[in-house]
Amino acid sequence: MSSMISMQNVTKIYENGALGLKDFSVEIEKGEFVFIVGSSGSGKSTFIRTLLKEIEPSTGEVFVDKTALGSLKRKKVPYLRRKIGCVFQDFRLLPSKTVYENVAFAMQVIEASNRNIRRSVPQTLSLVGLHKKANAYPDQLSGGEKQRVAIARAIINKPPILIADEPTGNLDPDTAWEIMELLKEINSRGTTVVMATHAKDIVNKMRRRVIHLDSGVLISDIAEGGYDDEA
Amino acid sequence: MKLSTFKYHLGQGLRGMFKNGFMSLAAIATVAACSFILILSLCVGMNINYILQQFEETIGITVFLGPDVTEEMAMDIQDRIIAIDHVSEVVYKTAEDNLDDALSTWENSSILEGLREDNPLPASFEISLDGAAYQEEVVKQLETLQVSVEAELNGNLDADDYVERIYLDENGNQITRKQAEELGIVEPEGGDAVEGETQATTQATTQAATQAATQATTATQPATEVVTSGAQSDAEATPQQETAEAAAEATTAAATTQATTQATTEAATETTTAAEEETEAVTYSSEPSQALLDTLNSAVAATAGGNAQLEGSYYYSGGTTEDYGVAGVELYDASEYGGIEYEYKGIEKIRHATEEANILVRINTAVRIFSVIVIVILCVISVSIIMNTIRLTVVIRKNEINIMKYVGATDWFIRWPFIIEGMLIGLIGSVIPTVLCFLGYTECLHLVTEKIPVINNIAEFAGVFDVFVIVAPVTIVFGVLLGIIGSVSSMRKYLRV
Repeated sequence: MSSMISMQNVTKIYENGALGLKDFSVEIEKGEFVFIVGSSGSGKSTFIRTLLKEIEPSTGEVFVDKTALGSLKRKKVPYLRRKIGCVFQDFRLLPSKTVYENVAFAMQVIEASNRNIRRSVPQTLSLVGLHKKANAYPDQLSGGEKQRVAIARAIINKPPILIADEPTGNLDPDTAWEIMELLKEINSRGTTVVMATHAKDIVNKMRRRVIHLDSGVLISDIAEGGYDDEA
Repeated sequence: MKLSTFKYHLGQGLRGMFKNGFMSLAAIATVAACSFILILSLCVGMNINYILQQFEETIGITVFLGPDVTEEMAMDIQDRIIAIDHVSEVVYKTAEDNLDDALSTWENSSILEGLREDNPLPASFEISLDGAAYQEEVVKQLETLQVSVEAELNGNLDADDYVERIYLDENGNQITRKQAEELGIVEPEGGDAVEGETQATTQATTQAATQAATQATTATQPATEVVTSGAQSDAEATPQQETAEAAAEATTAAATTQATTQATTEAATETTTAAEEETEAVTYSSEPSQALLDTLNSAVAATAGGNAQLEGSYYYSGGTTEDYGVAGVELYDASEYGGIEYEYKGIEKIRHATEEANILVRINTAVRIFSVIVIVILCVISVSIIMNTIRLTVVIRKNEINIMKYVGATDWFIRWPFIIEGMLIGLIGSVIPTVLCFLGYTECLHLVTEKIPVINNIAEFAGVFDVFVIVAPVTIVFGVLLGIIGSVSSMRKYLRV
């Protein structure tokens, strides 16, 4: 039971009748790097939102770091989310805050001390290679830089899990690779990384575990797989 | 909450307010407008209340004592007044106190100094009540007290000492008691033993009856009482009593006691009694002749001031004129104990203003209900306007809230900046009109006292500090609560992520 993420027979049917996931079971160990692949509407987003307890599965059990989400009280949800760093395709930065403030924001929210914030933010910014742009505003940055800020914000509180929902979707291939290198670096430091994507070349080149979904059903789950590998 | 977190929230709240400057301005203006109306209605309400209270104080009850009441008795009466419910204070004022008071209101009081030798003013009690609403209740109790004090005063006296009677002959002319005795209308005093006893009984019973009647019906005291005496009555007690009872049924419960007691008396003394209550006079006699009727009419008219209603309210019983001769009419004076013109010797007079008090109480209640309604409506309107205004600032920051949720912010952490923003908006929005109204109210008081000094004779307005010591905190709390309720309720939707 060292699994970081565990889903057991999870089925999610939305209120409008759409199928999110169907009898989906998966175990993701600590320190793994996992790709979730599949076309739009295959259930990738449902998977991520279920992990964040944004939505409740219709049936089945979900565990994150051994915590059962089904019985988790609403008040405890913020503490669950502190274990999961999130990166999105659209970056979701606050345009009115500088790079530094955007990253520090994540620490203020969990009520970290100012001293800790002052120490951690520059460290993390140098990890993602943005220490020189600390005082820039998001719209002064390129797409890749914005995503680095988002990643810095996601990892600053040192969560055991990093979830990236199509982090390279809006980036050109070269920049996308830079981001992938960064994610690999973070993974190598012990963070479990779950990345939803449909960038074939990235998945194929990385040779990591690939979980293939289609219409909410698990098609294949191959360690060191490629995008189109069949079980 | 950590200090750094608090600083963060405060900073965020302030920033939010300035960042959405126009929206904040609109919200502040809304709060200010509502606070302004709230202050106005509070000021008006408090002043009306204050003025009404002044009136209520002036319409306390004053009880005047008779000149024969000793200090000891006065103290006894005072204790009994204090014992009455809703009496908050009783101040005893001697005749000298009252004279001093009266003299102090005159500029050239030296002219009246001579009055000290022979003080025409009575001693009195100034009675204050818990509220004007209890006037009527207390006055009733005081009237009962007045009667019982009187009964105690009279208890030692012979009935004849205070009941002066008028004796009339057949023609309705007033005659002396001696003449009446000669005519056989009344038993001569000091007659034989049986007669004397009967008379004593009559007097005692009459006294008791009158007292009972007075005590029971202080509000409707019997105006006059006509007693007709039939000389050669054949002691037909039964028809007489029937008539008396018939009459008694028509009158009040109090009159019943009176009439029945009198009927018994009549049976014993073989006389016919005619009783009469206020304007609705009821007279009963056994078959009076036309002469008697005339006599009665004139007699009653003479005493009661000629009441047209009287004529229709006589009662006749069967029988012939021959059976019942009429020798004369004995008439009680209205100044008799229990009569309308009777002058009380213990508690001479109760001065009150029950009607005015009742009107005041009704106005007061109406004003209170009205202000509560106005304030409730105001609150509902303000909250909805502020909710909409703040909701816009929340929508603008929807993304921020969303991100905060993803990084693991608690609901309260997200709420605080909005609450602080709402509080600030409410605070500014309520302090501005409070200060303005404070200045305005001061100015108004100045203007009124300077330009229309007459108004001070009618009513005094509540002082500016007296008003604002209540209005200011109420308004500011109202404003801040409005801001908080507005912001918290408008962001509820966005917390559910």
